[in-house]
Formats: sequence, C-alpha cells, structure tokens
Amino acid sequence: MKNFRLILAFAFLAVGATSSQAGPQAASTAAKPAVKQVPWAVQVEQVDSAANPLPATFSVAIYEDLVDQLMKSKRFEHVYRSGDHSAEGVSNLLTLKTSVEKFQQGSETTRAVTTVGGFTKIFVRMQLAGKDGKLLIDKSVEGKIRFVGENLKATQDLTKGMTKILVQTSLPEAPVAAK
Amino acid sequence: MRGLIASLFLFSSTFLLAQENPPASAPATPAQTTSANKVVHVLGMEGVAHNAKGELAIHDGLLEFQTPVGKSQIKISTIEDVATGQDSKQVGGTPLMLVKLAAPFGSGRALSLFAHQKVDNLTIEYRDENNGFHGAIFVLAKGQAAQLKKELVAQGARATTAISDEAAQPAGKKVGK
Repeated sequence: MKNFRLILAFAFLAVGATSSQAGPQAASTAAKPAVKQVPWAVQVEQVDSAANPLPATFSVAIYEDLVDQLMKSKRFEHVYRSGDHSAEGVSNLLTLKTSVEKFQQGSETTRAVTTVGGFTKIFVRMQLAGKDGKLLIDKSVEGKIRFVGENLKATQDLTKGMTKILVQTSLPEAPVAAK
Repeated sequence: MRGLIASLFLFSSTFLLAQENPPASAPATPAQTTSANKVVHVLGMEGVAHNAKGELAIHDGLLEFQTPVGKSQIKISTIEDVATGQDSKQVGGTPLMLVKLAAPFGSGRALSLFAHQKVDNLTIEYRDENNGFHGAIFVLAKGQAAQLKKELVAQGARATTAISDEAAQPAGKKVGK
C-alpha cells in the first residue's frame, strides 16, 4: 500500500513537471505574430551567375522557387517577375537581385553511399533595393543538401532562407500604395 | 471453279490497289510531332503540379506537356534559352529507402550504388505575354533532351549554348547566363 502511494506521488509530480514545461511553449506559439504584409511590391530579377558559373537548371530553380515562396509568404502586395511590363508604373516597387557567389555541385549517389561527401552547396548574395537604388537588404545566404535528396533541393533550402530574411527584416514606409 | 478463282483474284487485286492509292480527298497528314514519354515536370510550367509525370511534345510551334489531368503549352517563339544537362536520380522510391534503412551494419548504403540511374535535364527559359521571365525544368530519360532541344531550335527557339558544347562539358560545370 505504501509503495502504491509512492508511485502515485511520483506520477503526479511527473505530470506536473511536464505541464509546467509545455505551458510556456504553448504560450509562445500562440503569441507568434502573423507575417505582416507591407505595402511594397517586389520584382524578382533573374539569377546573375556571370561571375560564378551555375548550371541553368539551378539558376531557373532558384528563380522559380523564390517567386513561389515570396507569393506564399504574403510579405509583399505583389510579386512581379523579371521583365514584367506591368511593374513599370508601380511607385512602391522594390527590386530583388540574386548573384551567385559560390557553387559546389555534389552527387546524390555519393551522398547516399558515403553520407560524408557529395554535398551540394550554393552561396548567393541577395540585394533588395528601392527605386532610387538604395539597398534595404544586402546579405549572403547559403543553401545546401547534405544527406537524402536530389541536388535541386539545395535551391529550396536557399530560397527558404532568403524568404525568411525578407519576412523578418523590417522595411521603411512605402511612398504610396501600389497601383 | 476457274471463274470463281478469277473473280476472287480480281477482287483482291482491286482491293489492294485501292489501299495503295488513297482517294484525293483523304485528309493531309498531320504536322510532325516530336515527343518524349515518362517526362517529369520538376517545376515552372503554369498550371502543372511539381513532379507531375506526363508526355512532352513539340508540334505546331508549341511545346506541350500533357498529364492525365490536363495539359499546358509554351509558344516556342517565346523561348529565350534551352539548356540540357545530365544528372543521376535514385530509383526504387520509398520501398527501397526503407530496405536500405533496415539493412544491418549500414550495408544498405551499398544498395545506393546500384539504385541510381542517369537522366537528362531539359531547362526552358521563356517569357509570358507581359514579358515576365519564366523557367521550366523537365527530367527525361537519358538521351532524349538533346533530341528535343534540336527540334525546339529548329522550330524557332533560341539557345545560347550549342548542343555539341554542352555535351563536351561535364555535368554541373555548364556555364549559365
């Protein structure tokens, strides 16, 4: 009987400890602010790989993933593609430029066999500029695939990182609302 | 009996002649189509899901990707660049992945050596009606990308790199734009 009481007491203590740990976590999840849309539009330029050669497949994958992620993030009022004529008259337009700093193409087979080699890594510099050319964001970002997966997944990792920076950086007030 | 054989011979020869010479009113042969089966659309084509499987065909100035669900097209005249490349892809999917994980003493890794196949990449860069830049990537069976690129260039698509130059370079070292 004494043992049973002891076990019951331990069980109560354990439950209490678990709930006290889970409490603040749940509160922090609930307090996480939603992504606030700013009245800026952004035009995503093509990936510049003139200085550091990048296969066309990776270049296109970065560009398309980036456009996709930015649209999903709802950070900007509108996401324009490079060369889009409808962006010409927009006063609150920002331009996002991506240039390749370093590229290392790995191999899916090597990754699967060795697990310590064959990584694919992409290093890019992202620059967000206003119409006057003033840089609002100028950062280097890395995308990589280390273990399981195709080489192109490195581009998803990269664009996730880029979108995170764009979402977390506070931007100045837009001059006027988008057209 | 001879009459019957003669009439049968006459009938069959008339039938064969009719087969060889179609009437003048027969419809013209359709435009030549170049296509590749079991193509995977990685990303970029409007209205097509990522990693959708289907048939990629070139006909009447269009590059068409058809899946069981629907189809999407790109005008060949809007294509700014076509690039091909090679990559390796794991085969076997989830079942093989589970076998590799379950194999003792890490021996599953050795399976990876045989569970990969070489594939071709076809990358298309094109403009929409607003001049917005788009890119689409397809994965095809080995040897098909170069053939499609040739046909696209023949029908008016632009390509910054010649097929012979791409073939001369190892995978992953091709120069982008």
